[in-house]
Amino acid sequence: MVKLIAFVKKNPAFSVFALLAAGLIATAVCAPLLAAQDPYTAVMSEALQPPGPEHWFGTDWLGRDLYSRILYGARTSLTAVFCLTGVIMAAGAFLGITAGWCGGVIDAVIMRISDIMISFPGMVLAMAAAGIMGASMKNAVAAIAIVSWTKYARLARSLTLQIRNQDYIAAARVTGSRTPHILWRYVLPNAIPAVLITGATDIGTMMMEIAGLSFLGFGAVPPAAEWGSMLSEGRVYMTTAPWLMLFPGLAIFIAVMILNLLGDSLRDVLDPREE
Amino acid sequence: MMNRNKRNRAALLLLCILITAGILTGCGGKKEGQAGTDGTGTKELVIGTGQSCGTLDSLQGYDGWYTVRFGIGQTLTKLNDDFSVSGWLAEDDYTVNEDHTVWTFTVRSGVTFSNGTELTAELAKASLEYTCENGIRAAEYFTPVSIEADGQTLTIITENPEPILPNKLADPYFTIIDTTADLTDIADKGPVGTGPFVLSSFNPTTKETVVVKNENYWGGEVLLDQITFMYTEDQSTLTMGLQSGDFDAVYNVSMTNIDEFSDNDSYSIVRTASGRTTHGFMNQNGVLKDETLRQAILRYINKESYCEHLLNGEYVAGKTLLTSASDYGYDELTDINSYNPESAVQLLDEAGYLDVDGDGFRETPSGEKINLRFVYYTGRPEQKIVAEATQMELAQLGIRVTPEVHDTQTVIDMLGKGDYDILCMSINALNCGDPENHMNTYFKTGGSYNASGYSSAEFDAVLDELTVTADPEQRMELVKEAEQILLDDSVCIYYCYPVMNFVTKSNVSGITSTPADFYWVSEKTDIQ
Repeated sequence: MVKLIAFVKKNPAFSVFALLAAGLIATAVCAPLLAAQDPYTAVMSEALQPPGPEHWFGTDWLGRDLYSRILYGARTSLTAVFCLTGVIMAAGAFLGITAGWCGGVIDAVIMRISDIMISFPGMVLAMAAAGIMGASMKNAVAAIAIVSWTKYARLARSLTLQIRNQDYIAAARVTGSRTPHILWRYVLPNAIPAVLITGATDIGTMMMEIAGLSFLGFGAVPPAAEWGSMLSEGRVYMTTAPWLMLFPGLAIFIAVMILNLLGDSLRDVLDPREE
Repeated sequence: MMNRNKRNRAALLLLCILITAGILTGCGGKKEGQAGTDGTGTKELVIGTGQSCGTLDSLQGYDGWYTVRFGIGQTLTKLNDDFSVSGWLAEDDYTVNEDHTVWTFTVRSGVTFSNGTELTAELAKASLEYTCENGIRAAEYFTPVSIEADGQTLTIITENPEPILPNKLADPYFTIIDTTADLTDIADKGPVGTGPFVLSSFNPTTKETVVVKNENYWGGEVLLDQITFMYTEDQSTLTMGLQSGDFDAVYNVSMTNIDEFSDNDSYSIVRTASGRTTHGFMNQNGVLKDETLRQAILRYINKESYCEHLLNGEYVAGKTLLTSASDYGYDELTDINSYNPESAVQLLDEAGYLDVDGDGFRETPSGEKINLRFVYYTGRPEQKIVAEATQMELAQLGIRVTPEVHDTQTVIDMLGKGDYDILCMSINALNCGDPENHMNTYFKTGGSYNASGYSSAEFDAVLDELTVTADPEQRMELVKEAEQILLDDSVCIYYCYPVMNFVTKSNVSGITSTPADFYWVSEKTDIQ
């Protein structure tokens, strides 16, 4: 407890944002408890009700409670964004470490593929990929993953190149450690913090990209509650029922802001050199 | 840390300024002189539409509509607002023999094609024969034994009685084109017609079409120099384009936004109850082969509520194939599948459609999962709402529906191929002022767009009789009989009857919204 208080005192910004992020996750987890009604139940006679005591955020064009849909939207968005970040960190780190450690042909192949990926505008390539695979949340995550792993691969590769020439690697070799053991015990633990920090600062961007694909119709399909697609669907009603765009927009804004600031402050905590 | 905070604050401030600037830019004024009369005195109009054609070949699918909509082509007869027919390129004095097998028309004198060629009965004959020989739908209208031309007199002889031939000739499928002109590139360059406008450019990808004044127009001076038809199926783009001044007129503004224009002096609205019906075709080649399932679906859909609450009261709830705006028995016919959710549940329970695997959705009595593909397009504003409301409602019944959106052209093709479980399409059933062709095309056995697997000998027999019946009252009764058969066979969901509109800036005149829905512009269309 004392340690915790000391940590909070030392890193107030991180603590606040971590708390907010925890709140965000708790909202998503507890959505069924917090929601006023089923987000998928349409009461047609209550279509397009403005925000009020009955429906805090109003209702959409089918008469679904927007507040409940926003809460459930947090589930969709957060699950997708954590999956996405997890996948690209794991894939990027694996490929990067492999390339950096093995060198030669393997390095050349992996890095050239990554160069090809980078030479396209990311979002456009993701749209093309999602378009080919068909609209679904899974495909949207896969599409963004396809274009986003390169950054992590490059980072992991450069770290591996540094690490492999360190004395402790030579020592490990001399004492008879095998390559998998060295990679697992010495390279990975030294490369992972940088990858994690990059991942944490990227979560916000990833969330925007997923929402963006959904907005364009490549992600969540109706009736799924997802902020990007809710924003897109509300567009037609921008002048007559602005709350349909306002609340999903706010939700994206708040979530992205919290996650971005958390990423920033996590960097400050883990990487104190800058101070 | 201090420096970082300062930097963050500065970044935040910059962000705020940028956002404010962005919002203010959005509020910015209109682009002056983009439409209307420009400095050189040319009058141009830009029309936004959620509907366009894939090609300009009037024989492809329903593309012929656009030859007429864009003001390029005209027909021998014209459909009036009360669904009656009068002459257009033909005089009003057309006659028929007693058997209704020999129709005689007088082709209007002094009519020229846009290339200057004078329209004679001979050229009208060539055009009709071109359509009958090359158009796959032509036989559903009529099959001539011979067409004869003598000076300006055109005689059409048919084997079977054709009591409503003048109505059928008003369909854009029978647009009179100059067949002596080069027809090889008709899909991109369009036909040579007699209309007040001539094609200037057509982009098959964006479907943007530009037409310019026909200098040889036979019917008086054409007031506009150019019209651009901009196509987008995005309803908010259409609305905002009109508000921002990018469009001078928009075809069929969404029911959600129409109120913004009706209370505003800067715009005028032309509204018509069209002959349209928003159909939900049910494909009987799949799981919907079972009539019980179709009945349950029909009984569970609350069309009244869709129209009242979701469609802003701009649509009339559907009951039968033909709109309540016509006299074809909307009030008389009996819908055995009127809204009755309890009976729908009971039907499915009794027929053994139960949720055995506990996923919240019913399976067929043989245990197969049901997932109905609901194909729709967004070019008409009611489509998306109808699709999602159906998905939502049927989920409560325990039937899984997956909406599938495509562009209009693709959906029309899918309808023809039967590539759907339920397919939503708004169709003008009275485009000839009479539903005979519509019923032939979509519901009769072998109809060119009847890929739903529906085939009823009883229905076919009624239609065969209708085709040769001349007496209007008898025709009316036969149509009602055919409608009743479709209702009894639980063939199709009739969601609603749309009220069509054209919203224009108040300085635009001469744009029409008619029940036929293909007369948009004319020589009188103008912008001040």
